[in-house]
Amino acid sequence: MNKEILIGKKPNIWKLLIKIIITTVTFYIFFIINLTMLKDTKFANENPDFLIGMKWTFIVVYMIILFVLFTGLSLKQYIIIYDSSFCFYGNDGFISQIVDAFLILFHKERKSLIEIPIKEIKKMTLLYNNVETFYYFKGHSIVYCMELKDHSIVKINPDSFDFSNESILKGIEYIKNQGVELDDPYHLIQGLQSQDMKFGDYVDKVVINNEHHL
Amino acid sequence: MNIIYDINNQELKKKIRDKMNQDIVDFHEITYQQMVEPIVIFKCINHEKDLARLKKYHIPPHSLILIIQSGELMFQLLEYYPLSYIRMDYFDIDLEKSIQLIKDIHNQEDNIMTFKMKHSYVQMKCSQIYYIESYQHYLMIYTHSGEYKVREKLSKAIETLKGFGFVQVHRSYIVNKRFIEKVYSDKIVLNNLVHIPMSKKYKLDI
Repeated sequence: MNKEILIGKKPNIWKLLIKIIITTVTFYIFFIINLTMLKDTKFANENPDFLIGMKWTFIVVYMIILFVLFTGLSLKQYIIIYDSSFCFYGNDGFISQIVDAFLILFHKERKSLIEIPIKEIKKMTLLYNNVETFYYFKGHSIVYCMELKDHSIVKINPDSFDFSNESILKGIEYIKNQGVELDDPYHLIQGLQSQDMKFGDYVDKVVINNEHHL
Repeated sequence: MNIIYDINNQELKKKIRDKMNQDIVDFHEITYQQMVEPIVIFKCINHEKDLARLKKYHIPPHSLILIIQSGELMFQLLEYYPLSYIRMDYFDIDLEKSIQLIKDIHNQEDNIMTFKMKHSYVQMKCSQIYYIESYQHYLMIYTHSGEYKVREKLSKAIETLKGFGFVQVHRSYIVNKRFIEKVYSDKIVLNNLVHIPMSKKYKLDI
């Protein structure tokens, strides 16, 4: 394999810039409209400090929004399968999120949360997980469970479902070809390969079937 | 050491008890109500819900040896910080490994560590760790089979690993003594050829 296999999406600085520009323009319009409306009120005329206070409040809110957008840069979790290793990128905790955002911004090397040489993986079991986003939108992700040759157990449970079926299938195929035993108790590969059904719908079907079995 | 057998299948219970009697001499069989550390609990699990009722007993981490029907439960139950698993398909091998682990822990030769990274988990034996490096507010754990970045304090790791052949060689490094190849005045070379800096302050500990 000459090229890495990416499962998920890497953080994109250009997307962040576009978000910042859109936020700035929207916020500026909102700020101007509000200030124009408030400027002519009786209260604002009687209290000149009020408008200065309002301006500072807007600036602080704007800075907070920028900071949240910036730190969101490192929020995405993704997996990269290199020639000889399986790496899971993400962060655990706010400090790590900030540090990683700076590393991404300055194109510095980012440490993966988990890095496992593929030759050390004895068996990989594919399970599924339910993922919920901020917008109460539900989805499913694949949980990569590994038994290593030194008897360590690793469960990689990405909390995003921002991945393409093709990349997962490619990654699984590559790992399998490296001699790793693969266990797919819920036939998730079948769900990923399916052209007639979305992966989420397939997992929903699996969940219902499981509940019947319990 | 105290042992609880929470197993309904009498045949299985007898098999485990016989093996324990044969391999481990110094232990007492107790009940949940008499729970005192150090403790090992053998528990049969068919579903994750079977563990929910154990919550009221405040079982210490790495005390449960879970007897499971399917291998996938092994991963689903990691959040309960088990000591080890006995899979029914590999009963004899897994029982042997679990009892060896109990012996190793009892003799302070090995221990189990479980790390949580958001929704992901890693469980490993201490003896597999080469060294641990403090990295920003995290620990980088280097083992024979991988590298892991976990949110943990170095002081807590030292406390856990102190009795198991680990030594602090620098304010940011803990090293597993069994992997030390050479000791120089300012550094340590491990047998995987990794060089670890060493401070004068910790030199006497090696």
